[in-house]
Amino acid sequence: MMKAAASPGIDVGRIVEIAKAIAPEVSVFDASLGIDDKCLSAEKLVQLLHQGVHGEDAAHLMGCSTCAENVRNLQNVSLKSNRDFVGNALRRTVSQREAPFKDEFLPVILAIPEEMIGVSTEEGTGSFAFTCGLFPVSSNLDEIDVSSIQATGAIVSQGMPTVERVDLNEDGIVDFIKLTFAKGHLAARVQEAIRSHQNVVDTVRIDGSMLREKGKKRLVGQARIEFANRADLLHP
Amino acid sequence: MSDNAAAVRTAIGLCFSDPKNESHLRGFDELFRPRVMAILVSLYRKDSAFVEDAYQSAFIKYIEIFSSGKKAGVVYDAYFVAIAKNSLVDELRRKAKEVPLDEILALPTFTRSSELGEQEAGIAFFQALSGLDRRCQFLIESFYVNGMSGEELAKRLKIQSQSVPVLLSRCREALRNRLKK
Repeated sequence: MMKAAASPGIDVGRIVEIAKAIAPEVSVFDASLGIDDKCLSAEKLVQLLHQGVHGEDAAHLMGCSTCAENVRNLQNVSLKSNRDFVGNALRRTVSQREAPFKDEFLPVILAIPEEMIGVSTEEGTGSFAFTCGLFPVSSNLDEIDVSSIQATGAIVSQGMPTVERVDLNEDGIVDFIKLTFAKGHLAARVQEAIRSHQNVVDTVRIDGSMLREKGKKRLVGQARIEFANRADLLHP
Repeated sequence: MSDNAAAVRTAIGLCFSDPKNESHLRGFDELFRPRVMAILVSLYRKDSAFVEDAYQSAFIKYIEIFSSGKKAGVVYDAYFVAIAKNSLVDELRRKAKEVPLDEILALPTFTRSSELGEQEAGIAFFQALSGLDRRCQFLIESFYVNGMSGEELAKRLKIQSQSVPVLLSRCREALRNRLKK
């Protein structure tokens, strides 16, 4: 522990007067953090870190370099930090920065651009192709052993995915990787729902390993997505 | 307003009702921190290492504010975000990082330096900035906090690079008008 650096005092009374005069009307957490109002808000960024992202927001994320950068940067800060901000503030001390995640996990954000995945009854019981975006914490995407990546949960992949490294603004930095699983199948519970013409919301999980730390460090991510029988979407 | 944004406001209210109650402060921290972190990493895009230290400094100020009592008419979540942003800029200065924002804050019309101290001026600046349209916020934060080039800004905004100085000038003017309110 070390003492907090001395900071200049703050005139609370005066700044409160200013705050009253110029406060924004919309919640600051629901406002966009990108180049325009279509970009993701703080609230959405926090939610997608925990739950993954699908639909309109996922499609936006996979096409907007500024939002992709916001996600990467947010992944790099420790939202689950062990640093005791409240205790330190009460004692006016500052503890050292701690590693945000346990070493054995590399959390990733899974982005599924569809709002809903329409599946034909044949696809539901047979082979099923699936594409998603992966936003990893590590800026060095080469460390990921792509051959080890597999989908589980609502969709179970078979074989290696094909990988496309996407650099949205052509600045030499890969913003995310696009994975396409040419073969896979739906979990039995999802198949059953499709056969019964019922929509179902289920979780797709992605996991894989790292090249240098095979067996020691796992890449993990998940997103919830709605599945529906395609026939019901065409003839509601 | 989203449910979580409303929950943050409720947590702030609880902290004002009993500023010495540590569990209220922890409840506020749990809700507020992830969201303000998202805002801070979008403000300074080059390096997220300063974000935790900035939040820590800001939290010390929040406790002072809770203790000083709730004032009518203040939107505290926005106000606290402005404090966190200003703390981030302070951290950058402390770590001897070049902050082009100092150029804009040095202008008397922006800082109202005759009336305000450095801290107050910085917080007022970020509060006023959050009232502008998103494109202006992005332009000013990217140019004056991150030092992003006109060319890079043009690329991100999908506009011609000659348009960037014109847009920046308009945004500075809008900011100036908002600060005059």
